Amino acid sequence: MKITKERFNNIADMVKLSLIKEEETKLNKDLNQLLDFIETMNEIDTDDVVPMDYVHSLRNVYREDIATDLSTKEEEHANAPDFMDGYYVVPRILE
Amino acid sequence: MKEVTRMSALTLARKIKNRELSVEEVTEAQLQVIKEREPIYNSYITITENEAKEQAKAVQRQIDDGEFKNSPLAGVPVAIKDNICTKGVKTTCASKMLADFIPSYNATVTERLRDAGAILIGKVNLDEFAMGGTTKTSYFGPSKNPWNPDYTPGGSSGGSSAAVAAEEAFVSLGSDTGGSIRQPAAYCGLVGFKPTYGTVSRYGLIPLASSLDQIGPLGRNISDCVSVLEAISGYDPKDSTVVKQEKYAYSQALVDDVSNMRIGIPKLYLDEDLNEDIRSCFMGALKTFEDMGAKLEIFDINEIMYSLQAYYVISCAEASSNLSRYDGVRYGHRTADYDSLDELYKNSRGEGFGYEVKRRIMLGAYMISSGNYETYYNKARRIRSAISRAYEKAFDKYDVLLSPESLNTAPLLSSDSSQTHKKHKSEMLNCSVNLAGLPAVSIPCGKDRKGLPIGLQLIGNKFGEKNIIQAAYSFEQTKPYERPKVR
Repeated sequence: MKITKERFNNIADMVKLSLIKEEETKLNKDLNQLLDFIETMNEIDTDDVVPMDYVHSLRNVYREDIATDLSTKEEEHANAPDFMDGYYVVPRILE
Repeated sequence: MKEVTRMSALTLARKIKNRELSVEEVTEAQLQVIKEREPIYNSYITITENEAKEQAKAVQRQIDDGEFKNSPLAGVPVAIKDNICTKGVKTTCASKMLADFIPSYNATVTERLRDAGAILIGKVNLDEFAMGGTTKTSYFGPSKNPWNPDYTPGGSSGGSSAAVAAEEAFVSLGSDTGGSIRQPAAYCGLVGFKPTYGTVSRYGLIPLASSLDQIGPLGRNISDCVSVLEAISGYDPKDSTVVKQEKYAYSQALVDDVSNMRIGIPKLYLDEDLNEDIRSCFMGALKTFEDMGAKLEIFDINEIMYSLQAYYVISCAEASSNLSRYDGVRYGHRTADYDSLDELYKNSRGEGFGYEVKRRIMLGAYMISSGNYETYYNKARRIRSAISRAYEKAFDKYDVLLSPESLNTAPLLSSDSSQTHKKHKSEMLNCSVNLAGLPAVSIPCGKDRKGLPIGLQLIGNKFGEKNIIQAAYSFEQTKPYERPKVR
């Protein structure tokens, strides 16, 4: 197993995912299998190849700083699960 | 009125312009067919009946006032994949996470289709967050293949392909990160066009992997697809990855002539243990091109052998960061079960995402976590470079590359969708194109013994859309569109 239980839990914590037991077992197995497959890419030598970030050569893109898409505050907040008096509502984070 | 929905998009638009049909009656006919067939095919997540009827009225009025003279799509009902934002209309990504999400803005492509007078008839199904190849991971259930409802219409743009093949829309928009337009088009006997990265604005496309995603059309013939492509492509100040081009006049490439066109066939795919029916259709297609005067040559491009591995690493790494925005606070699903902010995040995401999404988030985060960056992520980026260079070299010699679109036809919806050797190879055909940012189109080239469609993939050089359009159009003249026996 490349990804130990501890490492697995650490990643799940990092990406903020709660997982139920069955999911956890299946995911851990799946990830380790996938890693075995992915690591076959090491068979190809790429030492003299520069890593690629982007399809086209990078260049700066400028545009005029003109405000567009003027949606209203109400429209923007309409999708919030809990919103009050101009604020997103979350559980208390300071005692 | 069912005959109306069988027409090509361009024929329909001409009839509308000639006053043989009104936009309102066309829209009505389309909605009728959708209502009849949706219980079978489940192509749509949202049908925008009222909006479509209102828009139809407005477009008809504009046509009567002499507008849309140069728009070949005015009055044509189109379906949009449900990961593309539509103002005021639910955009769910087929996920519980966004099941009630209503965007406050239109994607650039949505805006451009509206500007062209196209009628937005509804939002179509996909695999959750476009992750998959069957629509089976959709929170709203799978779509069915109009050639046989026991089979998948493909994915992730499976609603886009099912809708157009079942005549529930004339054309549709899909998105392609690793084959998600081309594979469903192949499975449903349609044309599916993935443009060069940077041709179509991604503004308003809910991202899967930003360096690979590209929006494109699915249609029943290449001319319909080209008219959509022309409408949606072009510079957009809202997406800095769009490359400004002089001209987008793709329809000028709709020319029946491939004489002296140089066509390369990657040897890799001929060596594969291709399904007999696919091999014979592919060989038949090669012969057709040869008979039409193209110059065919088999060549080696072994660099793409590792494209699926590199694709997994890069797409999951990007997806993992893209999907970190879903926090249950600003929008999207929020759990009812929490005591702390951390629990709110974790439970909202745990409940809101399906298994496949979680798998990719976890894998992606692992790939870019400390200690793994060089081993996985940078290695994948190096392979991406090698693939891109290999394709560049190939296009020094050839105008177009040909391959089967997929090594199999549509699988049964009931079949196990876990990875098989054959599936890996099949995906390799597709995702290497995204890694290199190339344009590619899948066109129908026959059927297997079960009566399911087989696709042919034509790959072009960066911004070489016109070559593949010309080749596809020429081929299509020898193989006109065949419709499934839908009711």
